[in-house]
Amino acid sequence: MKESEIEAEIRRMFEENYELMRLEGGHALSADVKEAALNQVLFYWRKMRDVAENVTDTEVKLNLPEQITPQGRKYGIEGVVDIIREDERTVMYDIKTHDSDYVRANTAEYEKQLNVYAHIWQGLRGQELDQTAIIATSYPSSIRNAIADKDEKHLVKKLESWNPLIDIPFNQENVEETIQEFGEIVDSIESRKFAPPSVKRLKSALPGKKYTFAVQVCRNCDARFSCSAYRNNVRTSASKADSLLKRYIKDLGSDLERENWRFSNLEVTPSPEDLEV
Amino acid sequence: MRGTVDDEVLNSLINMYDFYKSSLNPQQGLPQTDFSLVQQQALNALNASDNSEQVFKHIIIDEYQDTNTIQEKLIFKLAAGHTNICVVGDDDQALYRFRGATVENFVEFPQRTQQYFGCNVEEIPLNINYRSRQQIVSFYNDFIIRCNWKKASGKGFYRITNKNIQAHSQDTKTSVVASTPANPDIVCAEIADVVRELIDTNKVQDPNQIAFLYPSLKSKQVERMIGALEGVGLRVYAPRARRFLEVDEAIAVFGIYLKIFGKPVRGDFSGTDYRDFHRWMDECINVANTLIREDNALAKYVKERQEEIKTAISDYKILLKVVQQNKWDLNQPYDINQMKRPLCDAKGLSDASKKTLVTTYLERVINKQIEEGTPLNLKYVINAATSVDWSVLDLFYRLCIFEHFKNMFDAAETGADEGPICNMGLITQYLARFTDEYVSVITAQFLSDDKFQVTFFMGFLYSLFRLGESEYEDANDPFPKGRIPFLTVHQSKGLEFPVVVLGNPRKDDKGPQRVEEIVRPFINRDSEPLERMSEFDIMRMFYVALSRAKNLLVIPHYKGRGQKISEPFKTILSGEVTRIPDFDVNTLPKAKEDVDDLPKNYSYTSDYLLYQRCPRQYMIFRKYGFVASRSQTMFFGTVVHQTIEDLHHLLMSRSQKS
Repeated sequence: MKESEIEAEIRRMFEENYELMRLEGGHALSADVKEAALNQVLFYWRKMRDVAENVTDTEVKLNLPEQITPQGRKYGIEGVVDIIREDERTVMYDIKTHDSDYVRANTAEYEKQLNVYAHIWQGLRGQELDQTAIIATSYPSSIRNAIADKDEKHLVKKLESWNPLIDIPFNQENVEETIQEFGEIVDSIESRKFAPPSVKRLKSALPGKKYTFAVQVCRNCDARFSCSAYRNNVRTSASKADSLLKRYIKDLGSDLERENWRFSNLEVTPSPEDLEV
Repeated sequence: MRGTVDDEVLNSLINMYDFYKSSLNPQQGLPQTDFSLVQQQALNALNASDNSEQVFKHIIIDEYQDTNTIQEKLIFKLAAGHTNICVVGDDDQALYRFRGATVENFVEFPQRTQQYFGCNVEEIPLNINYRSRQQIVSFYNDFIIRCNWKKASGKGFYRITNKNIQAHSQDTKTSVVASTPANPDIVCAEIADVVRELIDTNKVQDPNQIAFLYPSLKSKQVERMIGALEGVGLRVYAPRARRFLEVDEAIAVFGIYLKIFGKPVRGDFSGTDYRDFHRWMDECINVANTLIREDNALAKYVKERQEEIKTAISDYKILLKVVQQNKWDLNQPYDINQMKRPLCDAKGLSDASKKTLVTTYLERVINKQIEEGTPLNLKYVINAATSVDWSVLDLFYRLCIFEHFKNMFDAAETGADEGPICNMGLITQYLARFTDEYVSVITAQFLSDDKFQVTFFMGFLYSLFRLGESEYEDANDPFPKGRIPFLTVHQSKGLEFPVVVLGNPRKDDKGPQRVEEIVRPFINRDSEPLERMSEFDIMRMFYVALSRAKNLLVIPHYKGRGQKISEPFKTILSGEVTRIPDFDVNTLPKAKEDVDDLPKNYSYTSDYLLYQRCPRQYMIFRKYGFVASRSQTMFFGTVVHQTIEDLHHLLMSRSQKS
């Protein structure tokens, strides 16, 4: 199979997956977002070909049984590792659709997860890993611009200088700390602690990101309308003349977001005469 | 089968089924299958394969009493190579005849093994009961033998008789009580009082540890009991006692929907379902009117949505007129230079629609489609300009702004009452199904001429209404805190509760199901005789109910005009039995917190990380299964991951080949 054939195959598989998930989920991605998703896969193939061609195991289910929470509950930790590659060295890769620059600047955030996964894998297999790494598939704005400009040469150049692979160091202390935290969270879930974060937290920026929690998390959460913390956040935000209620109702997103939603879903909405009632 | 039976109705059914089957083979598109034949197809596949008997060295099957004839064939086929087969079950708990199970598979297992493999089986009794206190175990042991299980031939039984179930518990104090024999109102009040006392004295940790089990929830006794419990300030969770759409939360939500979209016109149909559905819609509207009266903000919101819909429809008509005047065809490609102006300038067109027509976004979409050789047609552009910005699921989440609905989320957050939020979660699942199967974008074309009302209310909701049952079932965490669950005995299978009230010790023997009579001539095997089948099934059903109780089993003793209780309860209750007034609640051990014996697994990403991000979001979407309306991020991640995984599989299979 030639490279171009593989790319054609990627496009075909992508379309098939997209169509299936659209039918399952009942809503579509806007054309731009959909294209970005396809590009992430294509660029993964172009950039990480050496990894992709040497995968020995994918979607490896991990399980760490027999854990006990601080309050004495028995539980197990589950996870799925995207890639294991075994040749001279054994490497575990986790694929994230996150921005590679962000991941590189905030490795600590990813260390916990990969360290725990590595710990479980090594325990299960009785074998050391030589390396763990993140493959961050969201490409930087320089590439996005090159695509928008339809400048193939420029794109090739920019792709060359992009490195989606980020090494994650192993740290045993991390593992113990994370498992401890994990147990605390299991206790919180089991004892039904479901209050939202504080308003203060909503107003603060997420670590390493320029947006606040309210923008990054709440604005993507359909349950924000009934959430006391989010409502207090809106109430105490720099106010417009609008009543609180009015502001909520306007809260369907920016004009762009609304148009995105409307157009991309309309494309896949059958007209009434095609509906079987 | 056609022509083999002499029965007009049956022959018509066979003809209809034949038609149905041929309708499953469309000329094009995905192949479809009748799910009831999937196991038959699996068996055919196993029979056609040369090594299906060698794949599994050991086969272990739990709940074997619930298997059916084809499953037996599948299992014996798979086990034929190594003949290592272990089955676990309890014939007294066989409940699934209605979906084809045959308890003989279990009862006759030793003989079947002889037939298939010519070998004997080893029996390992699991006769220690770790669940119930002693009196409860003795009670149901005694119950089940009060029916004659002997085969007509006199040789053997239709039941495994030598079980000798023993309670592990050494606690011999009272654990089975009956009410005073009296009319149902008195009995229900007596039971409600004792339930209240159990809760007040902390004999249970939560009302959801007391289960009321019924042969059927569509019974007057159920309504009576709910009334008695509510009378002493207790709340119940009885999703199957009435239609799901008749729960308070559904009535409130769909009442507001009816106010916003308008009630569909009542057609000239008779039929009780149709009448009941219209009554239901009327009740929804009444409830919505009250909510709107009590909440000005909600009133304003509903009014704005009505206006929005009205404007959309009016804009749509205005634009159609322009199309007509210019003699355009709705299916012709949209020509932005020629069409944009006349459409925008149409008299009376709202600003909102105008804005969409001139947006650069639209222009970009248009140009892109032209580039790709699939230009947009005029109809699409008009629909885009005149649809509303929300789906029925978006509307649901917006309604949660208002106090009446917000309170339900607050009650779940504090743990005071989980009932409403479970129902609200289920409503999102139904609405999501509507957006999946019908439409997500509500166009003005759809809103005009009552098309939307007909589809949403008379098509979708009416089907749900007629379907009746709810679908809320969460095997891990099935019963909302703060509520007393009302279940059918079938639903309670495999569960246990500190306290069980057998709500109605009556189930009339109405003879075998018609389908059993129909299939009987085609099953040439030593089965339970038709005329005893129903009696056996009733005994097993009650046995399941009685054996759910851990600490206390309560049985009402209804008496009086028109009241009846089934045998053997009648005989048992006429003997020596502790009555509720003589029962000292203090002798009851306290129920432990429900801790699963099996440790639960938690996922790093979808439990730990999600909870860490926002506990409330975790509760709503992960615990109560709400379906999100706008989850672009998740969709994005999943489609990328899935395709990369497919790519890996492709590459791996390629390198294996080379």
